[in-house]
Amino acid sequence: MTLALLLVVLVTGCDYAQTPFVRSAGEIGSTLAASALTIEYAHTGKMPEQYASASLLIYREKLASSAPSLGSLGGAPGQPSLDRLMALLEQARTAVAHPCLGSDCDWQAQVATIRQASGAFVQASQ
Amino acid sequence: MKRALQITLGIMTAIGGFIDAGAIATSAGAGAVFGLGLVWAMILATLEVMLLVEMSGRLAAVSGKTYAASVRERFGFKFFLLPLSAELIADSMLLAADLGGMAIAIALVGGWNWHYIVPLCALFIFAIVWRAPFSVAENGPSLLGLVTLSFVVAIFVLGGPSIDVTRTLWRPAVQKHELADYLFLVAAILGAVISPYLLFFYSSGAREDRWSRRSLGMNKVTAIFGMGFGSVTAIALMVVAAIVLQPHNIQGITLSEVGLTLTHAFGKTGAYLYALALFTTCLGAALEIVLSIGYDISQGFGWEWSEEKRPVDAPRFNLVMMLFLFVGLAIALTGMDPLQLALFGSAFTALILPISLSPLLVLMNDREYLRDDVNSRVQNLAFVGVLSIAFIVAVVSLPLLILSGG
Repeated sequence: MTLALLLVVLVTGCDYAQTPFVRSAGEIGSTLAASALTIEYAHTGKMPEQYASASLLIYREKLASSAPSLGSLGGAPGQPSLDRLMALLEQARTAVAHPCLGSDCDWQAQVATIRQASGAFVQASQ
Repeated sequence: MKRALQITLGIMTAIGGFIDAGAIATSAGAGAVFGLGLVWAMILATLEVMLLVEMSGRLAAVSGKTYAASVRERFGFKFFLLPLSAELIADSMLLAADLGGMAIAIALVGGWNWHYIVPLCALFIFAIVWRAPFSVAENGPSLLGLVTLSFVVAIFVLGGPSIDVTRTLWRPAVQKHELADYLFLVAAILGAVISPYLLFFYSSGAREDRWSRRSLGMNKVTAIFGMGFGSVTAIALMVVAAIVLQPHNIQGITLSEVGLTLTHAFGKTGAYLYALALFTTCLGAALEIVLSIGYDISQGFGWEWSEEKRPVDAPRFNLVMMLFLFVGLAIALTGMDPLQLALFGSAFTALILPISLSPLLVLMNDREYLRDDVNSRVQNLAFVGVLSIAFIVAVVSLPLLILSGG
């Protein structure tokens, strides 16, 4: 049964696989969602500040590696949708690169910005 | 107490071979995306690995020879080079992934950039391999590895999975375009769990612990409890990923994302527990890989080998390990994502599984090695089943890796 299923997937290929754009959009949405949750946890006492800071460094790296080529990937949407996504991503990336982990900044606004972008990318991946 | 300590070889083997950076990635990724829909693959892999580990331990205990030495002796040097070369490629990627995992764990505690910490982790492995006896390399990660049971406790703290998540256990929610991903994860789970280096390490560990025919009972218990421990942890990780990550649309594609599971359950304590669990499992795996390569090459070439011997008494064994550690460090320093490396390593492992496993079936039926303890008919049938799965996984792993985007 499993073998038959595997053969079907291998023969028909792409019908059963995500397009590169859908995959990347899903990963970006996931990384942004994790970033927002990390900032939230750091402010609600669930996560040490250093831990959040190191995590966000990793998320920033991940976003830097997956975002630049987004427009050229197979299955990418039309230019207006892509521009909207890229604008949201740019704001979110700025927030992830300069996260508000202290008490002298508006972390809730950052989380809202990142979550908005995350939601848009998750939607684009479905 | 002595018996309990003896089981540590199994737990160490499980910590290193079962729960490493690759298994953390595949388990958390599977849970975050497919809920409990891949628990069956983990259970299948566990049964297979229990069977194989018990056999490699029995071979070492009865014949007094390790798996690598037996392959070299029974099939000749040229054949031996085949699985050895494949092992070197797969294990170098896995070692780099585990060095990265250790570095990320330390970075999370201190708030640092993990790339700068990788050389320190390699230095730490070097110090243990160079100076410590086998018992320290075996018992240290085993005892510290018990912290991975935090994932099991987290399930109860979080109130268990919802009915919808539980339903995915027997009815996986896989959309049409996700099928390649789902099947790739099946292959990756099998490749990540049934690592050939685990068999080489376990049979060498049995010789280091001076197992004899009288240890056969202990071998069975160790294989079942050690691998069972690894399996429970990996399944628990799948479950908490399904409970915590899936609702937030977090796919568990970085090791720090996986840490959100324990943070969600235990707060700040959970963050530190995760860092410790990640460090311990990757340390265990890195040690096991480095030792395994040292054992393989030394036993294959007929050199002196033993972690119990001083470096000066087994110089080539120690030199091989140092060189291999250097290769792993060089790959890790390229800055590649540890999870990507682990996935490539697991896919490559899946590709070479039949080559690495087939000789064991022949050896387990050779009375010159096993005397009266050769495989029973049922054990042979089960082994043929494992080999059949290994062949399927080997054939499909690369196409699926490409289709699923790596």
